[in-house]
Amino acid sequence: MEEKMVFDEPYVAHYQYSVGAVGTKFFTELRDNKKILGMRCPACHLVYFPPRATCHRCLAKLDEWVELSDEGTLITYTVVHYSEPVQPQEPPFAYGLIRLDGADTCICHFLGEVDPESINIGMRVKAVFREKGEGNMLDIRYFKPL
Amino acid sequence: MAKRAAIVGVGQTYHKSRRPDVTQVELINEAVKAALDDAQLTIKDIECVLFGNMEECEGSFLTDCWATLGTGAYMKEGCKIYTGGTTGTTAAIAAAQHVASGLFDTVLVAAYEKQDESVYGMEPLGLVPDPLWRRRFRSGAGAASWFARVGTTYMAETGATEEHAAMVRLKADRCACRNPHAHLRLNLTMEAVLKSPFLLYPLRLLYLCPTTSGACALVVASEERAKRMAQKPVWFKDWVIVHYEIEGFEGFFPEGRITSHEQAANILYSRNGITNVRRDIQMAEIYEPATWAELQFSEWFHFAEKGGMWRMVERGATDIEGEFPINPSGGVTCTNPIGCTAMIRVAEAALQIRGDAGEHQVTRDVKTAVATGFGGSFWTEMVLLTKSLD
Amino acid sequence: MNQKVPDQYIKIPHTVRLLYRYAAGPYMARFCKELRENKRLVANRCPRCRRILFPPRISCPDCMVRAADEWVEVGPGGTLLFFAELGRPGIDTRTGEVQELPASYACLIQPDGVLIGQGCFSHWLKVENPEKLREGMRVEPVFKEERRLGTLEDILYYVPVEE
Ligand SMILES: [Zn+2]
Ligand SMILES: [Zn+2]
Repeated sequence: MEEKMVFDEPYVAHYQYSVGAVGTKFFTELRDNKKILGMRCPACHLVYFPPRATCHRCLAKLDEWVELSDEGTLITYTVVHYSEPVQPQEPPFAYGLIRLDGADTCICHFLGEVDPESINIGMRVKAVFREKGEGNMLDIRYFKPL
Repeated sequence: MAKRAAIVGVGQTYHKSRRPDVTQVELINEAVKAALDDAQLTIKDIECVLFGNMEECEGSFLTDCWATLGTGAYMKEGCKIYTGGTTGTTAAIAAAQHVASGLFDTVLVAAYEKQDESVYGMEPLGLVPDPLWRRRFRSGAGAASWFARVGTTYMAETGATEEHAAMVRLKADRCACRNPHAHLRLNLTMEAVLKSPFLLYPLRLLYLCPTTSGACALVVASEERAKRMAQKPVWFKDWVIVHYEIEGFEGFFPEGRITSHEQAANILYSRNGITNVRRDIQMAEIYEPATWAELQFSEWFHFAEKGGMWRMVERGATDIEGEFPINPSGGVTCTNPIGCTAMIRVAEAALQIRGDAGEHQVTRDVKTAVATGFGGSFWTEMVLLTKSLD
Repeated sequence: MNQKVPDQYIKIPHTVRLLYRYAAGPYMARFCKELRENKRLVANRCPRCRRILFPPRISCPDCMVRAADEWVEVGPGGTLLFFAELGRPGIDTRTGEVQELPASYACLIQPDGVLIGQGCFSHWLKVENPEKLREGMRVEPVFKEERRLGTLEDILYYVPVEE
C-alpha cells in the first residue's frame, strides 16, 4: 500500500471579546457586588438572563435592568463521565440549565457541592460566588442545591 | 421565470477601528435596525434572514446561530454565507436570489466584521490559504506585496506616476470626509500622503485598507411588495460571480489571460446591453483593498480604456462631482470591516441611485450603478443596480 | 437601577488552540514524497490539453477532466516572478506568535518546465545583494539536509543566481 501523507498542524489565535456596554454593567455588578442583573423587554413581558441589549423577538432596544435572585430552579442537567482535553473539569461533573427566580431564560452552568446521583429536575439551586470576582461568567463558580 | 428583487432598506453602523461598547451581536443589530427603520418595517415583516461574516476574524464560529439575537432571525428561515472578502456581495446576491426564486417576499441580509476582537487584527486570516501549499509563505506574497506589484506594473505599463496613486488616495479621503459612516476621515493633503511610509514600494501605509469594526444590512423585497411599500426601490438588474484558478494566480496574472474582473465585467455588460460603460452606468462602488488597485481594477472593469484611468483621475473624473464617480463613500481604503465591506458597496450604490447619499451624493444623475466585491484568492462579484424596473 | 455604564468596557480574552490533520491526497502525496526523498518537484499532466498541473492535482481547471497519472519533473530551480522585502513579520498561525522568517525577502517562483499561468509558488528569498535583484532572474533552492517532512518547507529558501 502507498504511504498516505498527512500533516499535523496546530492552530493558535488570540482573541479578546467585547462584552459591550450592557455586558460591562452586568459583569461589573457581578464582580464587585455579587449582584445578578437581568434585562426586561416590556413589550414581550420577558426578563432575559444574561441581560442583552436587544430583545431577539421584537428587536426593541432594552434598558430596563432587573435585579435577580441568586436562587433558581434546575430545568435540566447532565453528568459528564468521560474526559477530553477541552473539558473545564475532571469527570464526573455536572452541567445544569438554571432559571433564576425572576428570569424567563436559562443559563448553562456547573452544578457543585452535589452528588451526581442525587441531582433531579426541578431542584432548587443557589449561586456560589468566587471570592474575588474577575468580571466573567466564572465569578459564579457553580450552583449548589439549596 | 425569476421574479424581480429590489433593495427597499439600507442600514450601516458608524465604522470604527474599535467598538468595545458593543458585542458582535449588538454591532450587527445596529445595522439591522437601521435597515428596518429605513424600510419602515419591523422584524415581523421579514420572512427570511441571511447573514455573513468572515469567522476567523472573530474566532467565533457558527455566528449564524448565536447572532440570531442581533439579526432578528429568531424563528425565521435563512442561513449564513461566507465567501471571504466577497461575503458582503455574495450575501446581497443571495438575498436577491431568495426573492427571485419566488419563495420569499421580504428578505433581510446582514454582514459584519468586528476586527477589534482579534488581538493581532487580520492575522487569523492566515488560516485561509491552502495548508499544504501556500499557508507558510503568506507573509511573503500576501496581499500587501501583491498590491505593491499592481502599483509597479501599472506605472510601467501606463506611464502613470506615484502622484496618481496619491491623487486617488486624496480623492478617497475627500469622499470619506463627506461620509459620516466612513472609518478613516483624515483631511489629508498631497504632502501628507506622499509622506506616508512605504510598506513595500510603491505601496504606502495609507494605500492599504484599515482594520475596521462595523456592520451593514439590506432589506430586499419582491416586485409586488417593493412597489407597494417603497418610495424609492432600487432594483437588482443583474449580478455575476467569477472565480479564478487559484494555483495559477499567486498574485500573478500572465499575459494573454484575462482576470476575473475583466471576465465578470464582460459577462455583465454584454448580458445587459452595456456598450458604453461610462454612459450606460453612472457611478461605481468598487472593492479596492488598496489605492493602486482602484486604478488597475477600474480598467479591468472598463471604466477607462487600458492605461487611461490615471488620466481620468488627473482631471477629477472619479470625484463626487466628476463625470464617473468611483467610491464616493470613500471606499475600502477608508473603511474595511472585511466580511461586510462588499455589502457596503451595494448599500452605497443603492443610496446613490435613491439620491439619499447625503453629503457624498454624486452630482451626476444615477440611473444605473455597479457595485463589486473582491475575494482574496481572486474572485469577482458584480451587482448591477437600477433606478427603474425595465 | 439607573447607574451609568462605566467608560472602561470589559473584554474577555480567549485563545483558540486547535490541531488539524491535513490529508495530501494521492496526487499531492506523490509530490510530497518526491520532495522529501529526492529533493525533486514533480507535476502531472492533463490528458486532453497536455498542460502541466502544478501543484499536481486531480483535474485540469481548463478542461475539467480527470488528470492523467503521467508525471514530469519540474524545477526545482526557476525564474523570479516577483520579490518583496519583508517588513514586519506576520503571526504564525501554528504558534499564535510572530513568525520567525528564514529570509528577509518573499518571492514568487516560476519553476522550470511550467508555463507562465500554469502554476507558480511563493517562497522565501535569501538575498546578499539587493541591488542586483531583478524580476526574471534565475533562482535556485537550498534544501534542508535533515528531517525533511515532504512540505515546501523542506526547501529552506531560494537564492538568486547572479550572472
Ligand atoms: Zn421584546
Ligand atoms: Zn486540460
